[in-house]
Amino acid sequence: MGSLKIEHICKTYGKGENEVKALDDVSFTVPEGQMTAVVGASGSGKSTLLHILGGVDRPTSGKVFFGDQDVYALNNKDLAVFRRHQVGLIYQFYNLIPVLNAEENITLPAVMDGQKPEPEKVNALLELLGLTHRRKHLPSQLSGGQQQRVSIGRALFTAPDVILADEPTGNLDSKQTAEIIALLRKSNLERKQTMIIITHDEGIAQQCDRIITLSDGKIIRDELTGQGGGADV
Amino acid sequence: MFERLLALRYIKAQKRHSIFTVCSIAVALALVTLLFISFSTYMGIRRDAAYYEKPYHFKLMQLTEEEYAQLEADPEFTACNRVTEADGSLSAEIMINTYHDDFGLYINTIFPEKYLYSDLKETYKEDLIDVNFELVELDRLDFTSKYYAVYRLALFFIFIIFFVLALRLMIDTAFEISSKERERQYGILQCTGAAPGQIVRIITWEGLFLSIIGIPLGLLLGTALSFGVFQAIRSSGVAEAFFTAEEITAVMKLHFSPLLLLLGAVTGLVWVMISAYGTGMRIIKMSPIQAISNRENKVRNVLRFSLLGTIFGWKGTLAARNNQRQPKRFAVTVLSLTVSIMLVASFSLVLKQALAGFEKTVEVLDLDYDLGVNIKVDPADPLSYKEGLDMIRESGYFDIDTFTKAQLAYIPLGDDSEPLFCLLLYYPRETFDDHFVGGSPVPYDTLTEQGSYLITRPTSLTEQSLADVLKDYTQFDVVVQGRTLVTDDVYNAMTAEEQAQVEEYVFNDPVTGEHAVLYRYQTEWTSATLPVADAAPATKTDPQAKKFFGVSHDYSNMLLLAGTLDAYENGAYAYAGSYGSLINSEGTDNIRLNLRDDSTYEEAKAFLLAHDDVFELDEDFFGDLRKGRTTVGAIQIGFGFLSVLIGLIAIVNMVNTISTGMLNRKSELAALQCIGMTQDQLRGMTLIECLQYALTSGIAATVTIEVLFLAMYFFLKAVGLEEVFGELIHFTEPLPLIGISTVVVFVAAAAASFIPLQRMQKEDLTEQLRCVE
Repeated sequence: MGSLKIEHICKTYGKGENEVKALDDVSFTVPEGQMTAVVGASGSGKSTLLHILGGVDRPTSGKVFFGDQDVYALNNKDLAVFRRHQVGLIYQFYNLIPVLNAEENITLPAVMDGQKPEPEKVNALLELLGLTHRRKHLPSQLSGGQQQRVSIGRALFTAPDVILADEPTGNLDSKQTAEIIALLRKSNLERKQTMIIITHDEGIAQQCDRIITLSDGKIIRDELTGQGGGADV
Repeated sequence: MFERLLALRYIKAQKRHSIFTVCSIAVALALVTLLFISFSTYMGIRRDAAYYEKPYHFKLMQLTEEEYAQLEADPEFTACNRVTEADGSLSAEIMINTYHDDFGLYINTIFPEKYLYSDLKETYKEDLIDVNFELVELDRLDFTSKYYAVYRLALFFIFIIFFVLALRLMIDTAFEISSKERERQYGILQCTGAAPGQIVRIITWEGLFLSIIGIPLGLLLGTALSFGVFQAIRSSGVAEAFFTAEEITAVMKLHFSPLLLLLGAVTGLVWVMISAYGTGMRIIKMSPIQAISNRENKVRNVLRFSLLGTIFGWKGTLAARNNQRQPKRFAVTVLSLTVSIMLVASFSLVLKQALAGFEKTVEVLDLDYDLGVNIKVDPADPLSYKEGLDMIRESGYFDIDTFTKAQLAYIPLGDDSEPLFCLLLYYPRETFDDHFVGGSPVPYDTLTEQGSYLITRPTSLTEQSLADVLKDYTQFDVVVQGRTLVTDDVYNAMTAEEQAQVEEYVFNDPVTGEHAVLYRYQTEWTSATLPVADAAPATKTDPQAKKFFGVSHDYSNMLLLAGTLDAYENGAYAYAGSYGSLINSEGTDNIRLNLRDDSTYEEAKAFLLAHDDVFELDEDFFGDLRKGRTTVGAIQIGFGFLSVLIGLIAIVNMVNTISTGMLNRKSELAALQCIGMTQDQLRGMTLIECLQYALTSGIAATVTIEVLFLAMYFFLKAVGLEEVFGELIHFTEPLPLIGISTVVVFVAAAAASFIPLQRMQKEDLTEQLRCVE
């Protein structure tokens, strides 16, 4: 279920002379459990790709398959439920809800589903994130690293098949960066979650199973790290 | 100066926002202009009405030609009009424009020898001078009037201070909305070296430029609005309650006070500058990177518990906490909504109750008839009322409510017993049956023919007590009091011994303490035998029965014998001697009348006034009530207008607050959708936020009104009037209006939130998220 396949994705912004192709006929598959880094210069289409994968932004053309499910064949309501259940999104600027405390932010997707979060599950996740003592704090009362951990907790809480992270360590120092990446890797291994991480950090990219490099909306390099070796496109 | 250039460029670039801000300034200023013009018009109309009634500050009377010439030559007078009075005497109507601390002392300087004003008694010689106090006060010619002017202005400004705050919020919100979209650019400017002061100056310049368009537009709009409202009031007929048709033409004009309009414009400009400055200060408090990234994460505290959360779950919790993020705005908006709901719900109710209270008072005091008329009679002629009564009957305008001829009598009960006093009452045909419960047991004509009487009693007397009174009487031997008028000539011709037998009817003037002999009379007692036809209980509302049995204890043992007016005219009047009785007869006989057709009130009144040789209009309850109703109507229109005005301001503020809140949370709402919130859930949460505004305002209005009602009830109880007026207080009566107002607020709030939501949903989530990233 956690495999991702995108076929001939194009995304165009603007019209006429102002038309900008953010993604130009991008296709690839990410098998279940693979941790993939997407790298590229600014404006190469990384964030657009991530949003399209996460069901946030509709492509101009092309398809995204989540297992056998054509994601953009879903209506808006089902698409929202898809995001809630199947995808965990992590942003560079966390996008936490300022009126909810750490625990409430983490459990929000489940609560939206009408579920009552299991205390054991919440405690275990907070423990894993190192936020037990900060669980009742509002985002404004947390450091950047702590806020990002809350954001990761929110993405992990419903145990989605896919985690999509957009520069998750872009705002953090090197120590916090190492902690966050370790956390994501641990979750990836333990839960066999498919992960796509957008990053500028070569070091982070090298810790992933695969690196896709984008330039001007096109994949210019798709390589496996470690056992897979590189495969230029 | 690059600040001015940038301000102009931003205005041009963000046309929609600029137009919105200009409109907000214009609307806020239009409302203030309307209030200021209303105030100056109210004062102007009062002044014109005072001048119309008496076109002078003071009028000097009984003048000689020399005195008039002296007045005419006085340079201090702006007008000195010669008036020849009906009796041929000379008067001068004088206008001045100079201020005098003590007006009375000033008057005394005109003709010191006349002592026109008594400083000791603080009174004017009314036969020599008439001061138009209202005009003196409104023209602020003495210290007292200056004091009142300050008092009035203070009240007015206390009244509008709420409006000023609420209206300023409109401008504030407009600035916040337009600058919100530009925060990033201000951040960039700061990054490129713009000093915080320069950023503030850009925004204040922008405010100044927008004011140049907004303020004149607001003044024009407010003036047009004032014309519209004034025309509406004129055509509503409200003015007719206070003025005659001629007065309306003369005084009902719109008044503009340039000073107040200038004050309005300055107020508007100050508002705009404060709003712009405040917005600028808020922006420069952010670090440039915060402004660029536009990340506001300022929530420091949230309520752990919320009622909405308990009722609506997580959506309720989020909604309650979202509203809490702008506590000042929430409080001001809810306060203005509460006030407008209260005004809508309570004022029409309070005025309705006030009118009901007035009508109830009229009923309780037995004044529930239209007109009280005195028929002028000759005290020496017991049948002289007939001419007036016949004219009333033939006019076709009236139904007789009450008319009674009365004679005082007593029944001798033996040497050792106190006599039983009784009152002989003669009722006209039209009202005869109304005086007895179930009507008269004996027809009017039969009683007239027999010259017999009905023993009547109020319903408070028991059957047993009636039986005690009746015993076996079929007739009474009575002695009737008659009073014979003694004219001055007859009195002067009497011997001292005879004069000692004459009684005087003296009038004591409560003001002057003066004693005046109105007439003199001699009392005679005439024996008569009165046949009794039957007994009949008097109705509760029978005024005579009430007067003699219910209210006055002195007469509580008095027997009432009711006969017909025709029998009185046929000869019963002679029981009281040849001149009849002087009871209740001081040269007039009072008759209470009801109008057959209310629409003929003016004609009927004109009829009575046209025959002032026969009639004297004593009470005009119909006119009073109509005036009361019209006044209540006028106040209702005024307060209706006021509540709509406050309601509009409140709703505009709420709409602005909600829209701003939504725009501020644009990226947050997108993030919620990114993690799986459906659009239905988003709309649900927004609706709950709106519900909180409406419910909080509705509940606050309900509680306040109920507390006021309770206070009124306890006040009535404290003064012992709760039995009479307590029934007018219905605690549940305002609830439907509050409910409707709350629903209106909710619908407006829902519309206010759905419109930006709808617009946002046209954008991709990524675009909405970019507000953050």
